[in-house]
Amino acid sequence: MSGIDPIYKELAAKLQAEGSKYMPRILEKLANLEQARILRELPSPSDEIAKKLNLDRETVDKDLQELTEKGVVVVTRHGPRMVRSKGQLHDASLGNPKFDESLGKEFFELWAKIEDETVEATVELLTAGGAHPRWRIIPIYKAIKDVPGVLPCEDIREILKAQETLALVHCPCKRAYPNRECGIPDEVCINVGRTAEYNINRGAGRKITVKEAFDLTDEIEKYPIIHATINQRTINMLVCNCHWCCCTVFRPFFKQDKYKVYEGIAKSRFEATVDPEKCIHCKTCVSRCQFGAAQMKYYPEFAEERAYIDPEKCMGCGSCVITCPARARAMKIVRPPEHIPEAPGEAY
Amino acid sequence: MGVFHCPMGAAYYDDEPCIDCGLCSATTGEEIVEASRKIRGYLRSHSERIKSIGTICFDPQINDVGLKEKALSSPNAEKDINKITEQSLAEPR
Repeated sequence: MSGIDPIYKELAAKLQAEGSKYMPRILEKLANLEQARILRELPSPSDEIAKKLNLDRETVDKDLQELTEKGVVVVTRHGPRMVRSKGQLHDASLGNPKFDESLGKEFFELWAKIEDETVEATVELLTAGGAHPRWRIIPIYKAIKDVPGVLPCEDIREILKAQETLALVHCPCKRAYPNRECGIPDEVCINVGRTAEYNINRGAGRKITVKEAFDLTDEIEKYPIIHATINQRTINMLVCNCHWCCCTVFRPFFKQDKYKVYEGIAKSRFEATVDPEKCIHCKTCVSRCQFGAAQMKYYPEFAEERAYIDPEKCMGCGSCVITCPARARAMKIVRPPEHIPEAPGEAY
Repeated sequence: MGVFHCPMGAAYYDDEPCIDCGLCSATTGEEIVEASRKIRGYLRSHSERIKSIGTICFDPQINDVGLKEKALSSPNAEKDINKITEQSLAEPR
């Protein structure tokens, strides 16, 4: 890391990324030296910062505005502050395409590298919730629309309908992997509530209607996506549309052997079923399933391989159900409502 | 976790819904568990807040498919759903 000003290491430490090889370089891309000095002075007010750094107040405010748009600064109840974790900087800085050209290709490569640098730590944090992980799969609407007993907090259409504000944002995870194997477009992150307002206000998101959100989910369900959100009964942040190859939450589980994905991300209450009589052994389900749950096995009664579900691996996303050309697949509820906790960490 | 992952619905720390639980800056499992404990404690003692931050909560009544369809077919579907949700939140579980 020769040649980098030590101030960026100092700022990386504020994000609890002291030992990171890449965080100082990411910060160097996001903030020039003048802006880095301003960041170091936060939470002091603008006029004090201006005086101390021998700048005029307008320059400081202009820099803070740019840093807010870039996602390095947030305007809190007590004034502007630097974001305080790697995760916050990841979501906010990668989520605004306005600065792509000035940040350059290396900025995105650095984020991909930092994700690999922190696989074990991320998995440890995601599994810390124990029996009720913090993140949960929401099944694809078309896969469960005819199933009786669907709860509003697991029905993506109900979740979207109930929101006062919806914003469409470029998925920060996907943007760190421009050559991702899933091929899913990156403008698929549906923010709700305060998060939506935050991204609209800083020019990183565009307001959308409920109908537009429905149309988007219908469109992207053609891709091998998984809907996911926070694992609680109140959905107040966002609906993610993920793929294991690029998602900051899913990807780490596929890069280590210590934990299974369902130990850190809650399954939905659903599980896919298969009627082997209808199966035409096309293996579409096998290619759609991101978790290795859709498999083929030999059925003696048919004297050939047909589809099979490994219930332990099935996360209940419904991706295999909506694409089965023979309609041999369906969803059933296999977990009680208490599977979804009131608050994160454990049942309320 | 990132900006978009606050259980209280805050977009970032010290945003309006923030209760300073520390979840967004937790770096160890112990800190996550402690932050979750603070959130649960807060929610238990601020049931009104749950309604105001709530969008769709678990609702045993909405589990009744007929009632849900009736609510959805109404011209005021969204309001009706909120009404049902609020009614059930006031009932003991």
